[in-house]
Amino acid sequence: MIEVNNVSKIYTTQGVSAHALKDISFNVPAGEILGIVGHSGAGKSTLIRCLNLLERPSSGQIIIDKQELTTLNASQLRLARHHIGMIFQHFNLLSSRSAYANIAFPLQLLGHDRRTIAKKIAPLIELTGLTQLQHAYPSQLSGGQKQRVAIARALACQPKVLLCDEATSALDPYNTTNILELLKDINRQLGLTIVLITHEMDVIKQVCDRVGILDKGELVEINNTLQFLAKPQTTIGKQFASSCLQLPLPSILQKRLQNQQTATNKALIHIAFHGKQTNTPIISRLSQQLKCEINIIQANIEYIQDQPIGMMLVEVDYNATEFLTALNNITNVVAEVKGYV
Amino acid sequence: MSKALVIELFNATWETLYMVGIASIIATIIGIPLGVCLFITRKHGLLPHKVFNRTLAAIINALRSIPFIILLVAIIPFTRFVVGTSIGTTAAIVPLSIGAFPFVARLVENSLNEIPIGLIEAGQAMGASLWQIIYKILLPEAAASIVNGVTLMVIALIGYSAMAGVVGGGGLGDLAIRYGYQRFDTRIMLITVIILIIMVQLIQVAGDFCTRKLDKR
Ligand SMILES: Nc1ncnc2c1ncn2[C@@H]1O[C@H](COP(=O)(O)OP(=O)(O)OP(=O)(O)O)[C@@H](O)[C@H]1O
Ligand SMILES: [Mg+2]
Repeated sequence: MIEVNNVSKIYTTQGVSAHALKDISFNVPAGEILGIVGHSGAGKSTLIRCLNLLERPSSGQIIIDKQELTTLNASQLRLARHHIGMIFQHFNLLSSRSAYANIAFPLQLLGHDRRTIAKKIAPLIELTGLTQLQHAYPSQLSGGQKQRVAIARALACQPKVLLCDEATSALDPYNTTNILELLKDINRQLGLTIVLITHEMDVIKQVCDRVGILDKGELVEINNTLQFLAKPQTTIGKQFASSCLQLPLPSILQKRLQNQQTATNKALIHIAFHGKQTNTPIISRLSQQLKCEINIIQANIEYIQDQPIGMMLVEVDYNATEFLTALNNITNVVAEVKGYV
Repeated sequence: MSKALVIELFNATWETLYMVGIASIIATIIGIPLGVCLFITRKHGLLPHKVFNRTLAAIINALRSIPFIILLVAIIPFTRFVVGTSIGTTAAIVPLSIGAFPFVARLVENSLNEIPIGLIEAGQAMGASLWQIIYKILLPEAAASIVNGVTLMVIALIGYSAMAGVVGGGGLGDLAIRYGYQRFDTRIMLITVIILIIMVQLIQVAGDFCTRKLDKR
């Protein structure tokens, strides 16, 4: 559905040029939710804005729904954009229009009459749960509600593609989950292809089929979310993967944490495992094998794309290096020493 | 107070309303498009054009820096060309409009500057044309702020209109000067001042009301 070929973007300000995107290529098949994650300044916004040519790439090709956007003239591009929805971090609703009129806006741009518009947006208002709020003005709505209006507006022209620029970054965790659920529903019900960018792995974990890692303008890694979380290939990928698969250390332990193993302290080890390992009794097996006591401090299993991913924080009275070696003999396990207590 | 004087006061009030009213409308009609032009042709604007933008800005600044009393006299030939005469209430409308439209252009530009850039981007992402962005996004979003500014402009014009006496424009200011200053009739002066105060208050109240109605932020 979306094809990005060798896209680069160079900004030149006062003679100094900055390479915001470096030779980026990827495809998004129809019906997929692709997440792009990266640190601040990595070029995420630039990339998503290149997809609908809000920002024109310095070189490369953008093909959406078999149409090469980079070769279109201004009016053809405007026509194409009607079928590429976009939502933003700060919602960008028109403050002078009610929720209903905001949703109707793109259809008005196309010159539809009142009755057609009403017929087209009624199901969207229903889908986004805005029936009670349709006559409210943006200033009277909460962030989550505003984003719902923005989503309904983006869907008004029945786009095949939806671009989300940090769509949940201004929302609290509850509304974030809510909006992500809505996006997932839309993706399933309407078969919409979604590209979303974020700096939070939690967002990726919740909805994305695939994830791409953007680092200093380069797409360093792109993979199925589950596979990525299990086996990130790059250093930065590992950082992002562990950021969402780490159980936080309880603060009492955090305070007592030591760097060196001694005769009196115990090793604190974080274990992440996925796939069939979630059914393997890793702990009891290791306990028997190494003849040591393993104390589980925290444990959790999450489901990503209906696949379980387990995380565990354990305390062992054993040589940390040897323990890790034993653990790593079991496949699909990523373990890390957090310190000694 | 003599009947003649009452009629004179009545006429003068009407003349002020007429001059200021028509000049305000003309200044708004000319000022809004120019303000939009300033906004869209600036650097990183929707239709950047450095030379056009600089030239327009320079003309507007020049017009705004001419003291009104001088403008009034300086453009007499132009006034004569437009309305056929350089004397009278209708003739005073020309300098008043020219004095006010640069102000409107600047205040419109300022109001447009306050619109979050994201709204324009959202419009572009939805495939809006330049024209649609202007009249469906920029102007409605800036409407409250523009009305607020136009109210200021109308009130400033009432002040300017007092100088219209110089070209025989009449109005309340002229009446106050003729009676109050030249004939030492402080009573007439006081009455005209009171009428002017009431006029300004009413305009401000009406302007505030419209601003509030339009402002949904
Ligand atoms: N209009 C511009 N002119 C010049 N440089 C720009 C422009 N827009 C972005 N950049 C530069 O391009 C790089 C990528 O910016 P971008 O906004 O895409 O980052 P981002 O990943 O979205 O960051 P954030 O998470 O903070 O939003 C940055 O170094 C930024 O300074
Ligand atoms: Mg960004």
